[in-house]
Amino acid sequence: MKRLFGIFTILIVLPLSLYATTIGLSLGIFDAEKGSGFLSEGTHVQLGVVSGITPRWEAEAFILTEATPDPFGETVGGLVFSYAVLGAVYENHGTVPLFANAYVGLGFMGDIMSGSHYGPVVRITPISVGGPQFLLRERTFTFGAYYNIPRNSVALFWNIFTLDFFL
Amino acid sequence: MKRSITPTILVLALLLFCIPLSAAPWWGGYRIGLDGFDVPSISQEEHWSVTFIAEPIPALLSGPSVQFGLTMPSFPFTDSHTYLSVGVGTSLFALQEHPFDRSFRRDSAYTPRIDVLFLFDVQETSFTATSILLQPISFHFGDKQIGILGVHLVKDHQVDTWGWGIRLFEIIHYLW
Repeated sequence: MKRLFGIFTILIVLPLSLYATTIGLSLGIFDAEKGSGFLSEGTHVQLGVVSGITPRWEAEAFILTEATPDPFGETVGGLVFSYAVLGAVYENHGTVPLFANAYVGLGFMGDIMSGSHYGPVVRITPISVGGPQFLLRERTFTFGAYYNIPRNSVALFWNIFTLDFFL
Repeated sequence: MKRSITPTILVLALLLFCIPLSAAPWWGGYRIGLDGFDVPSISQEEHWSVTFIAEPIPALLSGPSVQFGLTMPSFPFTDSHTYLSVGVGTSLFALQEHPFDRSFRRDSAYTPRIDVLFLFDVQETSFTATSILLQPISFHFGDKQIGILGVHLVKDHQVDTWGWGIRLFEIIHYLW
């Protein structure tokens, strides 16, 4: 358990320290397929940090936590690397980036409280508007799949809305 | 020359008359929110609230509003209870110079809201709950309003007790 927590802490801190680039704080809503053993029923929020690695690649470290009916009752941590499909996002050479974009991402998630489940994740964000140059980005209808290694099962999940506030 | 003056005056007058029309304030639209409750008579699943909203005094950023619509459980719809939602509300004030102003690319105003919502169970035709919705984090962008992390204080009329909930996110989008 402590080992898993330590790995997640390192994974969260690593992208912040390696790359001197724009950082954003993300806030979103999150839900997953019921009965998949991934999340209990109720509402969940996603809080995270997003940072550009290259003009098209970004790293996002986040936690998902229960909001109702038992706040912080379960907490999942994750790290996802996303690729901007339609064009560069973290561009610093005076070029105007696309306002709208789409992302595909790969990463890893796990329950950081109990360590009861963990595994790789793939996700797609079909609609995203804004970006670091606009200070705000809205990601809509993100969906994906999570492979729960201890349970040997796949759970579908979705973030209907996520806001990124770039600093 | 004389011939051109009259049409010119008429066209200018017409444009002048059109100015108030183009500056007409928004008065109605739709409101979508994502709720979670800890109330005995309402399931713990995520609920989507989809309502029409109208503002009788549309010139005010912090004016009163009325709304009606549905509150329903989200996908995969394992809970069959859908609620008719009727409510009144208002923004408490509008603060245009607020600390997050530079975080948004559009002009914005900080407009904390309070709403009172009445929930009627459509399937059981019963008055299920009354919710006082407090939204301390809400911003007005002219044609839309966005709020996060609102708090429901809920009176459950079925078991006569109080509960609570969270409106994780909401958007009011004005269409008219």
